[in-house]
Amino acid sequence: MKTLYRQFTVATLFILAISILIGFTIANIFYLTVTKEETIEQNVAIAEEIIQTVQNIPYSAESFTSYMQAVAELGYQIALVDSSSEMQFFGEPFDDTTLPEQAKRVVAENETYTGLDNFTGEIFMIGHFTNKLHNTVGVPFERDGERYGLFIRPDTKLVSTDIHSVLIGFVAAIALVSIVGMIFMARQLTRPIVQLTEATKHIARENYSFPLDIRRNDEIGQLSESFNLMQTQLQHNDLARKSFISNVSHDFQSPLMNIQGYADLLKSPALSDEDRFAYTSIIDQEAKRLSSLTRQLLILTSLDQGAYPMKVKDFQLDEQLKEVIRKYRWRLEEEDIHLSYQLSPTRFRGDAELLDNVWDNLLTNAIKYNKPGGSIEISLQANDSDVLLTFKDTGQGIPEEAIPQLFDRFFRVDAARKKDSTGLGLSIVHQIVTLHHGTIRVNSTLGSESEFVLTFPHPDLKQS
Amino acid sequence: MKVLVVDDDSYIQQLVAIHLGKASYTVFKADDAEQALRLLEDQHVDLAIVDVMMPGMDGFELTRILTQDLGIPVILLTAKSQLEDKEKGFLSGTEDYIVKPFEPKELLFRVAVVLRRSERAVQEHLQAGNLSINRRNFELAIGNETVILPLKEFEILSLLVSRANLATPRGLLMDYVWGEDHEGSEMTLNTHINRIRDRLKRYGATVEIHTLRGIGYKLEALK
Repeated sequence: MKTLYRQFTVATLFILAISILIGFTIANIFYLTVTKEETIEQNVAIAEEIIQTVQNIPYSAESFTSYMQAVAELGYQIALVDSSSEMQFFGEPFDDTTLPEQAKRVVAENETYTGLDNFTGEIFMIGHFTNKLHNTVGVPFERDGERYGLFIRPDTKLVSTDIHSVLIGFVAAIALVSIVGMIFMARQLTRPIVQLTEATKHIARENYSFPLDIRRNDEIGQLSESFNLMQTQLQHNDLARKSFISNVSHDFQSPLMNIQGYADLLKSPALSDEDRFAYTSIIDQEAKRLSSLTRQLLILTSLDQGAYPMKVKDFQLDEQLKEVIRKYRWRLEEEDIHLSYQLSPTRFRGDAELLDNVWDNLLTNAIKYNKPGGSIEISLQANDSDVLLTFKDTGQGIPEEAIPQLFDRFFRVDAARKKDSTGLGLSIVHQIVTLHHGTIRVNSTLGSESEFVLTFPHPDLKQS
Repeated sequence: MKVLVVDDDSYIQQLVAIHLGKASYTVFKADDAEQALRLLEDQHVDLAIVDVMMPGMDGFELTRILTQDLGIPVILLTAKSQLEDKEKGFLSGTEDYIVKPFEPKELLFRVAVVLRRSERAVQEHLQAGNLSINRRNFELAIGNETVILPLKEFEILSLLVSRANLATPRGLLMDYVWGEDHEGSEMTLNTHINRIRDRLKRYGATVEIHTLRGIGYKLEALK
């Protein structure tokens, strides 16, 4: 694995190398344009000063030599050339003592030689440091009627050792500090990442309480914050899922057990007709409950898949409601419930199949929780902005404390009254209504009536 | 009453047949359209229950033949996913349709409704005061409110409305609603009439049912 550490270190070294290269180039350009000229002028001035001293004070040959030696010891390499090209050296010896043609003109033509000018061929300012005779400045002078050329250059060995070590130390310090700093930075950056990786592994194992101790004000801090948020949400979802599954399996198990149990009882040959009838009707009821449970679960899971593909179309809402009422006429007849409705013709836009479930649930609830001889009133009104529906029944009513939970999954007002309820119907209703940007409200008086009021924004059908 | 059940699913066919049989209908069964038509060559039926999805000739085609050529009312059985099929179904002239899965009781209710309708060739729409009766949908409208009455009450009221301002003898009402063999008693008729009166009053109907002592009832529009 390419660790972040290594990548950081490599990147640091690379950046260091690049910056040295760039620094060198810039220094070089600076040297070539500014420093070089100055150095040459300086050297020429020094050479001329030496000559002046030599010419003003009449030295003997010995004292001339010792003077030259003294100058050389101050940090110069000196070559003295006479007209017959005889050379005399003071100070550090040159590596290469060949004298270029141009330099010979110092003695012959009385010109000043600036050797550094010729080093354009050499790589940059390294030329400045080559220990060769042609890398000097030459100045002509006369002594005792004899013409000489004085070639000098500062002894770089003497000067440079200090500068070099300072420079090397400087570069090394920069390199060291930046590498150490980078490693420290990398640590700081990778530590929370390693922690986050560890946390994701825990989540994969369904442990949602891994403590993340990352307090930072940067992007990583944000990441860990949203990670914590996700963790809480996942934990919540996990709990919801688990309770959902346990509810579902319980709700599947109990009717299945009843069916099994009563089917077993039916096998017994000595059974009164009354008992036989009672057992079969239990089996019948439980089978119906299972069937509606599976149907509702199917709707719920398809609604849960985040973006449920709504098959939105325009349709006649009042017709759909009449259709649902028509479907349950036999039950109204059977349970002696009186139904009346007032449906103003309304064109609506939505998922007709989903909405069909809403009306179906609300109407069957109104029948189920009604009393014999009771009544149901359904109304549909539309104005410019809203579509308003009410389902009102003269039934058992809903206790006030149960209303907030009414739309929760698997919530039953009367826990004992499980026979014909899955506890999913109203949660489906709520979800579908919300999906259509509508709201649902319940008004109820315990023991006498309940009213479900649904409000949908009126679709602007003119656009279509 | 004779009912023909046409469905290729033998379980559903049998289930429907058993329920109809228990409701004292005479049931004939057919697995597909061809078999049904062969059976009808020497057998008359009052109603056919036809599944939409069948191999060979489909339910729509069969319904067209039954209703247009043979004059037999049809109840179509259709799956939920074929909801748009209902328009197609009515185009081919079916009387009613029912969406699967259905309760056997729902089917029996529909069968009774369709048979009643085809049996009594009365006017489809009746009117008296602010009452408006649709005999096709078995709906009663009072003003702009629609009221679903139990079938028997609906029958009683529609007979009274069709004979508005005329005396309707008890015997005629009893025969009409319960049939010639008089299952119901005069007491139940009274109960039904009273319930109808309550409802008319509740929805502000502008008609009134008068009792004619010793004779029967008379429905009159209020002025």
